[in-house]
Amino acid sequence: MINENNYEPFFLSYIDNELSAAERAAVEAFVLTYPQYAAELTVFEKTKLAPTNIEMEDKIFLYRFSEMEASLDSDFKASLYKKEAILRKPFFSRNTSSIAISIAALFILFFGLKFMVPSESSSIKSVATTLLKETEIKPATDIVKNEKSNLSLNNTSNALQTVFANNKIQIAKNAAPPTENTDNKSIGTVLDASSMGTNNITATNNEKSMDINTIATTTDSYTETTNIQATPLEQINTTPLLPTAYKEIDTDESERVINIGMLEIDGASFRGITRGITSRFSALLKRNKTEKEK
Amino acid sequence: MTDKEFNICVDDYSDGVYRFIVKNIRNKEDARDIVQTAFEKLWINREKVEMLKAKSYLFTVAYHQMIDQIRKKKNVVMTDTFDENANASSQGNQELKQILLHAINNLNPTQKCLILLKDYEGYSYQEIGEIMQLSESQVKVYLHRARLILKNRLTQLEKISA
Repeated sequence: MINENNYEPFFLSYIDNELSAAERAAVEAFVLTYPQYAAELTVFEKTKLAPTNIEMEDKIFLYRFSEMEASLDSDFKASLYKKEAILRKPFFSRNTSSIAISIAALFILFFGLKFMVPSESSSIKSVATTLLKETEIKPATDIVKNEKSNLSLNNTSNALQTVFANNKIQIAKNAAPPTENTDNKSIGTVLDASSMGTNNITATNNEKSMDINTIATTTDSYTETTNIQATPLEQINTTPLLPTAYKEIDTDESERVINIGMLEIDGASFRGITRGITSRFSALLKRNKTEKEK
Repeated sequence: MTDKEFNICVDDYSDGVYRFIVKNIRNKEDARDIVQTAFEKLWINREKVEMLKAKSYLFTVAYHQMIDQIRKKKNVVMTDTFDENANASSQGNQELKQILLHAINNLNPTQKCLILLKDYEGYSYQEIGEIMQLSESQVKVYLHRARLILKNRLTQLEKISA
């Protein structure tokens, strides 16, 4: 029951109207018995909010009627749906097509340069072959044969000497080497060989033929190094010597001409074009990258 | 629930729900939106909700909507302190009711809701527990604690005025 120690919860439940009728009567009796607590009960009652007349505005919007929920037939509703035409994105956009074209152009240029422009080594080879064809080097064995034919066993030592002398002179005349040092050396060897041959002329015929062979080998080596036209001894005096043709190999890259098919393109301008293409291509790639990042 | 019964609920409970919300959040527009939402949900679930439970359903939905809105806007002051200077200044100018409302506004949201549901709507502890998803004993303890706070404020005021 309510007493001076537990009156507060009873007062609170009393003002909240949560007590039974018997409990309410007990609280009222307690207050009458102990009037000093009546003021406290009054304060608790003051904590209760008085009802207000606040009303909801626009209450009419809350009303609902079944007719408001009327719905259309599902088939009819389905016929009302519209589909927006799907815009297909082109496979090749403007950017991708320009990139593809530039890549293809670079490939064509690369392979065109690779297969159409001769490399330095191949150009040197071709120049060398043409020079060989022009000079028509004859093998030294021909010289030996000619010499053998000229030198019969019955020839005297004087005749041999004169032949060798003529041979020496002709070799010296024909020698038109590109560089003087190498020519002097080779001519010197020839002269030494011929002098050896003259010293041995007094010996037997077999020995003479050996000497001739040695001379022939020296002359053969000389023709290989200097590309001198070696003609038989009979023809030396009669046929005129062909002039030796030299062709300069252009090794300067800045003035090189690039051949693409029938076209001749200046190397410097062509490099400028390719650099321009590559710089634009790289700029395009950068721009695409930045757009993607955005 | 028929549409007729639903419209009876609008007549009987819309003011109460609105009052409960607007006293809590002190914003008429937001309170109207919350009431609208509560009745919208009742209409959607009208076949499941009985007429006798409609009031409790409306207050429950409105209460949770209000809590969501308070969490979003965080416009409710959670402090429990009482400004004595403000109270002293209002002593001579305002009536006891206004001071009480000021004190209620300084309660925490749960205590404030409990007071409003109890005093304005006359709900029992059990009904308040259902609306606010609290047990009956919790409602009783929290509500009594709120009353004691209000009583202390009023006692302080009476002492100052005396």
